[in-house]
Amino acid sequence: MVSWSALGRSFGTNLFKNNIKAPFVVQNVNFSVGKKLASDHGHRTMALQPSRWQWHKFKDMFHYYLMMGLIPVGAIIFYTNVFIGPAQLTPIPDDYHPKHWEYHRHPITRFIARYIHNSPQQEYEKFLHFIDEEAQRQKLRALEKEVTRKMAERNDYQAYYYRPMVNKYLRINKKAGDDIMERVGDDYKD
Amino acid sequence: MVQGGPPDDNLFRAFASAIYNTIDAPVTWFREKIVEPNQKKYPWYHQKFRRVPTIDQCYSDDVVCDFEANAQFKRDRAVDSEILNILRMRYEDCMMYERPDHLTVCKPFWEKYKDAEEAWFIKYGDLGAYADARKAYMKQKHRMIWERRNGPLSDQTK
Repeated sequence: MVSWSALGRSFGTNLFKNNIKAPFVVQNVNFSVGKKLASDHGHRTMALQPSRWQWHKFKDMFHYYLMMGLIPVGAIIFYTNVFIGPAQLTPIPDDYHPKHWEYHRHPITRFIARYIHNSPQQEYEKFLHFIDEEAQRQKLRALEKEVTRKMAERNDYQAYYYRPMVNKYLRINKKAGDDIMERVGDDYKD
Repeated sequence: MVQGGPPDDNLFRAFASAIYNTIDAPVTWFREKIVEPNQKKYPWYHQKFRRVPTIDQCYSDDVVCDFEANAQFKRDRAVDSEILNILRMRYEDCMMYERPDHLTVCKPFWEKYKDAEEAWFIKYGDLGAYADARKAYMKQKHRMIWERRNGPLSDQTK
């Protein structure tokens, strides 16, 4: 049945006390006609009835999508199809290079291709430049990695971001030391 | 519409076309009287792509050449698939029209379609979902090695 909220509790008790009218029953739902409210003049009544909010909201949304969506877009589509129409397929003339939007058939597609999108050739060339630059960076990184690997292997440079002394004689001495080691071994008496 | 011969007074055909025309006639009238006179005539074209170097002409570390060769490979594969489609549709139209003696009448279409299908498979088949120009090139290399050892694979590869 009807549940009394906190706000309407006093109102409800008034109803309950003063309900002398015959109950108004529709499909087993008891619509009670409310008592006149204190702040009004005249005899306004508030009908206590189930919420019609969803129905009102539906009507709102329906009208919104119809007016702002369906009717303008439908009018544009009708105009383009009837008064402009799709294009005819023709072979490319010999001395003419067509623009990129002239490869589409429908006028709305042509419009989008012409004014909204970038040309496919531009995007293609941008991408080629991007992967070329990325490939150059990859080569630089690979070279750096190889250099540090060789430095780690040969232990002849401490680092590569400051200029070291000339390591040519260091390498010669190291090679001489290695040769002696090979010949004589590391047998030593301490 | 075939005009000519004695007028068709078949009642059932007239009835069927009357029902069809309850929908068709207003639509056709609208199109012919209102839509077509008002439409503008202007051209559109099919894009022609320039040939770029294929994957066997690219250096191995040239990513730009590799990408362009790949794009060309995908375009060529799409075109070849459509050609195969058209040959198959030709055979199927012939078969549906000539049935039940399609096995003899439509044989030339069938032969052409089968040859084209075999050639398509030799070039593009079994490359997987991530097919590449490089993978197709390697497939060709392996096929040629196999053919060198085992003799020709089929009529299409002679």
